[in-house]
Amino acid sequence: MSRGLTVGQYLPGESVIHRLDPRTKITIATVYVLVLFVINNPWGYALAAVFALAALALSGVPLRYMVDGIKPILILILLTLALNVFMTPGTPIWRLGRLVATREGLVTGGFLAVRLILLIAVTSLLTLTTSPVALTDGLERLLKPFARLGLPAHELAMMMTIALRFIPTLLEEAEKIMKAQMARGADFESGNIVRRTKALIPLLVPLFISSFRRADELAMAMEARGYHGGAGRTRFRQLRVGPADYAAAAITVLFVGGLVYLRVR
Amino acid sequence: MSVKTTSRTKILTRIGVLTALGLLLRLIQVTYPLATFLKYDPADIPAIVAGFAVGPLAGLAVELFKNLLALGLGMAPGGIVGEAANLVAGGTFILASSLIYWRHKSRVMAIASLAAGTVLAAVVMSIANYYIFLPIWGVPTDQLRVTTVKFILPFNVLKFGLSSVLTYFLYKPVRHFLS
Repeated sequence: MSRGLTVGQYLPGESVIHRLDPRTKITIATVYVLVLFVINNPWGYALAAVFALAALALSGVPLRYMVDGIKPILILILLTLALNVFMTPGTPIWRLGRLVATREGLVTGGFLAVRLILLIAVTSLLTLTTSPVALTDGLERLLKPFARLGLPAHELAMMMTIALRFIPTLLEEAEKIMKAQMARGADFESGNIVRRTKALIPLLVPLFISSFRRADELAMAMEARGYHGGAGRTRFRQLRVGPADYAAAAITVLFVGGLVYLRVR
Repeated sequence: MSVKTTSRTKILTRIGVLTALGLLLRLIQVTYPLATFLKYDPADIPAIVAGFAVGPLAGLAVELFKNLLALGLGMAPGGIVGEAANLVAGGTFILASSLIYWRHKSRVMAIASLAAGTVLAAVVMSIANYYIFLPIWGVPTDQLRVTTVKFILPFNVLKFGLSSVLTYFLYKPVRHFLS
């Protein structure tokens, strides 16, 4: 089960993108994803692609990683592209038996495919250049202003950090339980879908019980060390906004401005 | 059973660890035979257990964190759109089931709440796919109805039905360890 699993896809590095504050990167990636849905013309898509490619080049992340990230949904993208090309009414450009490919279909489908690829490329660039802990840290600080409205920013980040910490532990536990049950004759690998689902029960029950036990032990350990929530907590790792962050923000503002110009032009 | 003193910290750690379990269960993935882009995984089960054992909001939190962290860890093949769809589906199921279950905790209510959650999630997902997700993926307007009725609706009934059955058999033995 653990074969082929790498928890996280973070690629450590020293590039400008790596060294940007996580808050800057999260904000820019969010803005990017949102403005992708505003674009309605080829020049807009070109500008968005240039922005993504420039960020990729600056990050020093090999293109291969990006391609690997897009591969799982490639079939889906090709499928919707084909659906659009053949199903949209318009000027015929090519015939395949009874199917007619239209120029309008090609344009619509092509834009949708580009948008999806850019969407996934930019979110995976964020996670390739930012460690999960930095991400939750950044998220906590970004949500802090909402704490006044009752949003538990610190608790949200704390819970996600705990989750990250426990993925490898529970994975090890799951393997141990699987081996133990197989030694008792459990069969996880054969039979139809109902049998296989039933076979999961002897794995899931101990896994859940052990999870609850670990959670309760962790709570006790934290309280014994004086944990009492976010108020007044000091930090070991401090986040700092530097000149590069201001530059990145300025470029993003220009980028969004450019897209808006291209749309209303 | 000991005295019920679930501290605030305990709630935090339980949600955290159950989120980790949810992410782990994502690895057990079965492709839906009728459409390769739909996949079943038992990852909603920790969230529904959190919903039953800790509270409806805790269940929703596990589901939300699971989706956020899957994105952050590169475990989301469908990217942000896929995670959003997963969150709407799982969130509806968990919120509906656990809200009903918390009104009156009993075996019958557990079954009724899981069934209601399954039906509601399938309905909500059909609507959300028709109007939001399928258009984002680029499915043409005249194909929306067919795709929704033929793939989305049966898939979600099967997905949450399976998760419900697993949860039902799982929750009873696990419940005794919650104090």
